[in-house]
Amino acid sequence: MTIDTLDQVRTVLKRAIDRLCSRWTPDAREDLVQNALLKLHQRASGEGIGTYQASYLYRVAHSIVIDEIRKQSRSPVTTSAELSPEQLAAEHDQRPEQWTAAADARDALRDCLRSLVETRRAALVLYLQGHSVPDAARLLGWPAKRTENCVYRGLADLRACLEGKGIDHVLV
Amino acid sequence: MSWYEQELKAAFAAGLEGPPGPDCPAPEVIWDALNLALPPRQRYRVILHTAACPHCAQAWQAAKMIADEAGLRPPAPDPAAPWWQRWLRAPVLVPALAGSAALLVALVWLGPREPGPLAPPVDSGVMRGHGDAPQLLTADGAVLAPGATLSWRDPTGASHHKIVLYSPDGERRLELPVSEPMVLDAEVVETFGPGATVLWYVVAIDGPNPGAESEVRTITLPGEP
Repeated sequence: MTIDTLDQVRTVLKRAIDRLCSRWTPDAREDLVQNALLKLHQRASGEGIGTYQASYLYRVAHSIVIDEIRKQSRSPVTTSAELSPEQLAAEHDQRPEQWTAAADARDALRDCLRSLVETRRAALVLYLQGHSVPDAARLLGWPAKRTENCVYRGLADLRACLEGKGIDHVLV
Repeated sequence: MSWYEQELKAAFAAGLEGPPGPDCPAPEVIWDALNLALPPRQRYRVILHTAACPHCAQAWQAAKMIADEAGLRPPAPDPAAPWWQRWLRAPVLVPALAGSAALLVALVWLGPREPGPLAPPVDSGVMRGHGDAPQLLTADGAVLAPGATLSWRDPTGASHHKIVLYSPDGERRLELPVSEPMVLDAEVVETFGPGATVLWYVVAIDGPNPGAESEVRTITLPGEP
């Protein structure tokens, strides 16, 4: 679908940004829409907003949102690492010991993922991100059978690694 | 899916927060990897990066959510169905049959010709010097100085080739049809800027055969950044 009027472009950008940042304030989301429109305007060669495929506008919206998250992550505000377990537990509506155990499990999960054989790690991370085995196979450019083997061997390795660290459950 | 796998997925999703690192790919690169717009090798690197970087894993999830909801990513084939059922259900069947019929007519009309599958171009790199002692530089970061060419060898002899150049952040991209090793031209420097690092690969194209891609290489353009 080709989109070439300002209203149509704005509608697609707003829909994507609202979906990605549903917890942000309306003002913050509107700022991102404006930033995206500005980016498109700067790239447009002639007058007007330009002509785009919807997929390109979704790509721009994603880029604007992730850039904003990166900017905020780098700004000198209090980060999670500087908060006490009590403060973090309050943020997550959990008891401090529950929060600490869940955080330990998440750290162990990351460590164990890093220790996997590379091919199993690649297949497994896609699976944990919610991709089906055929979808992961397509992303990796591998046959489905190979991808399936890597996912299930990766899961077995991951479980063994977590158990080796004394983590039987990774409940969050 | 077992409870344990569900727990793993939930724990992975709950850990999707963290500061970006200096080697995080640009959001556009993550988007392109998810939507199969990056070459396989670079896509693989992005996927591996998301295994170690919670921030980029979050960016990947965001891209997946939007692309899936907008219907930008075609559904993966159903592995449970036999191949012939998947083939019959495929939405491309009718155009594929029409295309096959047209191709058959064309082949009958033009005489027999059976193109074999394409192999990816190999030995790609920067070629310096001429005559008896040309030097092929395949290491990443070789400078594409004036007079040098982007060179490759095509084992199957495709009818034509295309060179794809793009910046590491995915923001700038050039696709140039070429018929022989490519000499540095002004358009490349204008697009990426002097002294820029550029990734490139060659695509071999031959009639109905799908393009076969070479390895991705990195070059540095001449001049001061």
